[in-house]
Amino acid sequence: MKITVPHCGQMDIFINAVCRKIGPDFIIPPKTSPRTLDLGIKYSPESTCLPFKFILGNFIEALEKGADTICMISDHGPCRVGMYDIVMQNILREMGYQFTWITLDNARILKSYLLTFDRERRKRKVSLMDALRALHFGWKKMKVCEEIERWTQKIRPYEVNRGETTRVFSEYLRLIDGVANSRELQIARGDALLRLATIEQDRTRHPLKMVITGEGYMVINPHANQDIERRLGEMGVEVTRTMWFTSQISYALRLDLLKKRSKSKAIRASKRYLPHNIGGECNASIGYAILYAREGYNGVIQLLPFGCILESVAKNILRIVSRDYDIPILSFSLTENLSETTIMTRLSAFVDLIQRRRKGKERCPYA
Amino acid sequence: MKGYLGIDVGSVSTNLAVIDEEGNVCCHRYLLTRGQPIRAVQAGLGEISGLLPEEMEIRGVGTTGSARQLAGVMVGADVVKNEITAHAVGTTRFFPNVRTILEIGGQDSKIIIVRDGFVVDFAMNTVCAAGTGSFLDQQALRLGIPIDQFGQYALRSKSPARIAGRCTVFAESDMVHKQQIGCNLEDIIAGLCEALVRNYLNNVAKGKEILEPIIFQGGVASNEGIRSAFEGELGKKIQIPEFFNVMGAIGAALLAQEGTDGLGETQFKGFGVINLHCKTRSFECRECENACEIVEFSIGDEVTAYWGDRCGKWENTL
Repeated sequence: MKITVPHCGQMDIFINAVCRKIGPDFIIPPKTSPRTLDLGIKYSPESTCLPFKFILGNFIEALEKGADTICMISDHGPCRVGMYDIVMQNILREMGYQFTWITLDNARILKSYLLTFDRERRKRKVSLMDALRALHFGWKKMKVCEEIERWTQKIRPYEVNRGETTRVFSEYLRLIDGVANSRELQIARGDALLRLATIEQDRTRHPLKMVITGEGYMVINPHANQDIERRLGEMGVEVTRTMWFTSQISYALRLDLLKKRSKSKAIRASKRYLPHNIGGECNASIGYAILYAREGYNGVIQLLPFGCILESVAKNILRIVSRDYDIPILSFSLTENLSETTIMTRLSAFVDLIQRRRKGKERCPYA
Repeated sequence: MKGYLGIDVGSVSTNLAVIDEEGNVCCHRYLLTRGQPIRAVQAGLGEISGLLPEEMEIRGVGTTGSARQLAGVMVGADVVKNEITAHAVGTTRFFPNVRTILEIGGQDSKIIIVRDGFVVDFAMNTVCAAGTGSFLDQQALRLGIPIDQFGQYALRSKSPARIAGRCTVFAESDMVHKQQIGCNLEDIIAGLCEALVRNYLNNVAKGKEILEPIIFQGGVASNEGIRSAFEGELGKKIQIPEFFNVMGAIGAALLAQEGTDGLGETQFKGFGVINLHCKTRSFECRECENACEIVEFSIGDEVTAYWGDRCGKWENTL
């Protein structure tokens, strides 16, 4: 059995860490590239959302590499991810591929993930202890990756040589992907933080602080959001985002109750505007904008795939949040046809808007 | 005397403006880009250098528009800015209390909401070019009317025909249909203007609070038909500034003044660039899966700039 999953953030590092210890064999699709998207566009229904096209492209490339089992999450409710599994299976079978399809049901975590995992473990005669240890090691790796990434987000707006922070970050991601035990992981972590600290910085700058929120796939994947985090960072903005591997898992397992910026807190914060949790990331998108506005962030960017119904609801409510909390919010509807110029024009206009506003406030603080 | 030059290279027109230290416009030019931004900038510089007041020295240059980066490396710009900021800065210079800016250019249309002299919100057309200058140009050509008379035709109409403005393809087939059933030209043109304005208000300006004073600028502002359709639809007064078609360039010049303020040194390469042989070349970088499209800019045989690389690898080679 050769399992494949779609690319999503740095999840491949987690999967590599686990399956190198206890199996089974994974075939990670080639990194998402323009070819991936071209394949996805070619075989997808035209009006489907952007994540569908990327993910289908990932699957095609993984099947080309020899994968025979596809693992894909599903959901209930208004988000279109609920129909991904059926539609994708049909498309891929019509293309002539043969494979087994495993649907992981997001609404039934216990049955779908944990029991599937446990059955698989027993079948392959892996002891429970080894399995838990492997999972824990993978989890620790993700924690370290995210810690380093949070530092790169803070350092990037100060860097003197454009691109240096990003290069250091991807170099250490590769290194961390390769380490085999906790001791090596700690050494790699120390090295990475040290190396980041030596990046030439201009500390006289006064970066703006922005948060990227919205539909999860668009927020976590640089290939889907046209690398918006890096672009903003290089324009001198300290960026953070609302979607992380560990925060998402913690939320799903209800382990994030005590965290300061947890998804459950965000959903609670959105209650005033949208009392019912309508699913997807809609309520969280609204709630995170509120949480970060309270923390004193200067701006919010909401990312949504063109045609996403849930985020369109959030987009309209965010307009009211923007007024109530006096924080600029830019909604970005992304399609495969968006040109780089359009993105840069809007992003830089948004950064200018906030910068000029801040300058104006400094000049006459009581206006 | 100190002067500041602003260059706005758009898809359809290339505009230049020179301001003095007080921010007054000394001279300006409006040229067609014709798909050749390098040549348009060179031609524009040539024309404007002849219009400069005597003893004026250019102390700062700003570029904007979709070819801002190209124009920037070519002339040696001190400031390279997006057109939304440039337009807002230009307009607030002349109308400090403006609250809404409607801008319709050759390929894009935007709305900028200003409060107390600061931009608070903006939007641009995303997926559709209906209602922009290029489409009007094309329709004028098809109907055999000079574009500068398009607006007058619209104003003469007594009962505008109803035309679908959602999409240029539908608008065009709807216009042909109205022609064939015998509507007269004036009514069709007036109907088209109304359709475009409806489209703009329902897409670009959706959900924005349009308050007076409203300034309408960009090349399409010269079209009286569109202007009166806006007034009819909004029920508000629309003002068209004197420099409506070079406002972006004026904004870029003002930003250049702001950007070089206190520095004193400009990057401007001088009007000599008119005679230089500039060329661009683009290729796909194959180093990683990003496959960035890199643009290489060279003057003569010497490569002077790269852009388009996400990682900064090419940019840092120079």
